[in-house]
Order: sequence, then C-alpha cells, then structure tokens
Amino acid sequence: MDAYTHLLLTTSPLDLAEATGPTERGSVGVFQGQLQAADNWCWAAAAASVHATHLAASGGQSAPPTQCGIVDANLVGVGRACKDNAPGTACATVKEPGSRLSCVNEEMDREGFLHLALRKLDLLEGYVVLGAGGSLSVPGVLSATGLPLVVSDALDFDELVALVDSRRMVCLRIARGDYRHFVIVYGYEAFPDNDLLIWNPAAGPEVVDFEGFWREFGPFTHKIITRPLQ
Amino acid sequence: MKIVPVTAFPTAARVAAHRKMQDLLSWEIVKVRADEESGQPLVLSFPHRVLWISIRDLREHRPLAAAAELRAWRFLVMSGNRVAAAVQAWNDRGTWRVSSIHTGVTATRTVEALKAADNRVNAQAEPCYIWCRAAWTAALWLRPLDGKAGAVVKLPGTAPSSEDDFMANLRKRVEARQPWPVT
Repeated sequence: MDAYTHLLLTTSPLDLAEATGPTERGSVGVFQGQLQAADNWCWAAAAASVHATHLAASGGQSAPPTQCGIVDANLVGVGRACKDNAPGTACATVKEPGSRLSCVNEEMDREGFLHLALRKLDLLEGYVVLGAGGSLSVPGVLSATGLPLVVSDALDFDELVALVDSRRMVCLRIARGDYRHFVIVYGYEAFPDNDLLIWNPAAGPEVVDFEGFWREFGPFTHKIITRPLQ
Repeated sequence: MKIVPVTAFPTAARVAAHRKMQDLLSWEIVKVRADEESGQPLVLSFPHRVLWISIRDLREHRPLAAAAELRAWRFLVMSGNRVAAAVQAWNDRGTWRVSSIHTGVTATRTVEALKAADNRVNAQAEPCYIWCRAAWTAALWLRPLDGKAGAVVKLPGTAPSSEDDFMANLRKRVEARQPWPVT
C-alpha cells in the first residue's frame, strides 16, 4: 500500500479497548472452512467444510475428505474429479485462497447436490424448501434426501440462532437467475444488530446483516441443516 | 499518481461502518486484528463506491459504465499496509447500515488488485468495487475520470482486463448456466 498512501488520507482509528459492549453472540465453535477449488464446486467445498468442522469438534484424527474426493463420490460415472487425488498432494487441499486446483479435471467442474453429499457423509439432519408461503411438513412425503419433506415460508433469524446454539451448521442454497451458490451459517450476533457469520466458499468468512442478507445474496431456495457437532 | 482518492462520500456511512467494526473487534471468531508484529493499529479508510451489475444489464449488452449502479459504500480496515477487512454500508430508507463485513480474499486482496489495475490504466481513475450477484463475481474497477479506458481486476486476482472483456466474461458465465431441476 506504500504507493497508495494518498488513498488513506481519510482514516478513522479503531480501538480494541473500546470494543467491549453488550452482545449476544454465538457460534458452533471453531469452524474449518474450505474455499472452493473450482468455479462450480461451492457444494463440494461446503460439504468438505462441514465434515472438517465435525472432525475437529470430535477430536478425530482422520483427514477430512478432499473436494476432489467428494466430487468423485457424488458425480459418479462421469470421470475423475482430479488427476491426482492422493492425500498430501497439491490436490488434497486448496491452500491459496481464491485459486483453483491445477489438477482439476475441467470436465468435472460441475454443480452437485450438497444435501446428497452430506447424506453420504452422514452429516445431514434436515432439508427445508424455502419460500413456499407458509411452513408445513408434508406427512408421508420424503424429499430426495429420504428425510421428511419440510416446506417453510422464509428464513427466520431466531430459528437460525437456535440451530447454531444447538451446534448445527445451516447451509443456504441461493438461486439467482440461473446462478446457484451455497453459503454456510455458523455464527450470529443478535445484539445490537441481527448479524450472521457465514462461510462463503468463494470468498471466505463474512459477517452479514440479516435484513441485508437477502438483498445482497438472495433469494434462498433451500435450507440444509447439518447434524449437531459433538 | 493515477488513482484519485474518493473524498466526497457520505460521512454517515463511515460512521456506521466505524461503529460496527468497533463492535465486532471483540468477537474472537471474526478475526479482525491489528498487526501484532508491526504494532500497526487498525484504521478504517479508503472509501469507495460499491456498484452493482444486474443480469438484465448483461443480457442487454450494456457497457460497464452504463450498467454499474451505485448501491453502497465500502471501506477498508487497514493495519499498516495490510487489509484486514472490508466493510460495506448502504442507505436503508434514510439510515446508513452495515450490510456486510468481509475478512476473506475479496477484502484482503484489494491492494494487489489495485496495483494490477493501476498498471493497466493511463488516466486518472477512481477505485470502485463491482458486485455482480448473477455471476457471483466481485471485482475492483478503476473507473477513468476522463472517459478513457479503465481496467477491471476480478477479486481475488491480479489479472487486469478491459471493461468490455470483463463484461463479456460475466455474460459468458451467466449464459453458460443451465436451468437446474427443482429439488
């Protein structure tokens, strides 16, 4: 920034000592987010993030699945996701934020179903279709996950707070035009404003105002609830 | 120096951003921290416009300058030369509110993008943040003040492109999407 100090003429110092105010905050704990390794792998990154967070919370020693592995397990019969998917290789993790893995098989840079990926990992607890004008459970009708189909009116902040307090992550599916994306809610601040702490696989952690959330990210079509952390 | 600082911005937006950042500093999990090694304090600085591009703009082949619509203001939280976060504030029916705080790569890579874009333009320009929700793409745009060619760098990234190429790539990305079955 040295060459651009003239851009910093208007500054407003922030003081950590003055940062303590009355707050109502919560999170699922230490979150292990992964950035997506390919343009269309937000779903794989979200699944890998949820799994890695579960492993960390349980003190598990095993390595979490890679995005390559998740794609291989879910987009079957198409081809291998990565040219070299061995643990410990450059294909195993995305270490550089925002960069895609050089070993991604371009033909496998495809969208997938997060809820099905989580179900295969035994991390799926709930699957809710949003925006149907009311909240109801459909008796005897199972969704594609095999779980009871639940249709809900819209996102409810207090409900998200309750889910995070119970150590569940909530994956939100966004659809805009023909564009789709997933983000994961893993924390909140309920006072002085209603804010959500989210993991955006395309960009990393973000704090978003709940009311502005829809405006900036919406509309949301599905709410995918994970099993609680141990 | 080609990049011109933005001095005419709504101070109420900065007040809202400052208040929110001050509040969030005590939230451990958000991880916005001063540079402990260099001892550089955190400051809120670098105001710039947040401009949105809609899917309609892309489909109607509007050029960037005509498509970009002011929706919010963005400030960087700096610790010395390091960007620790970016804060966006928007005017909600007369009240400035913080809509989002980014601590990931779209924030921390802003300076690299700025340098890359600066090497491309030959005129005085104003830095702007571009957000295209339809393509889920953020970018830094050096908007020329004299009508000459500007430069755009997708965030995160350091590869500058022309305004026309940037819009063409966004359009291509949106048009490449196929309808998705209801699940």
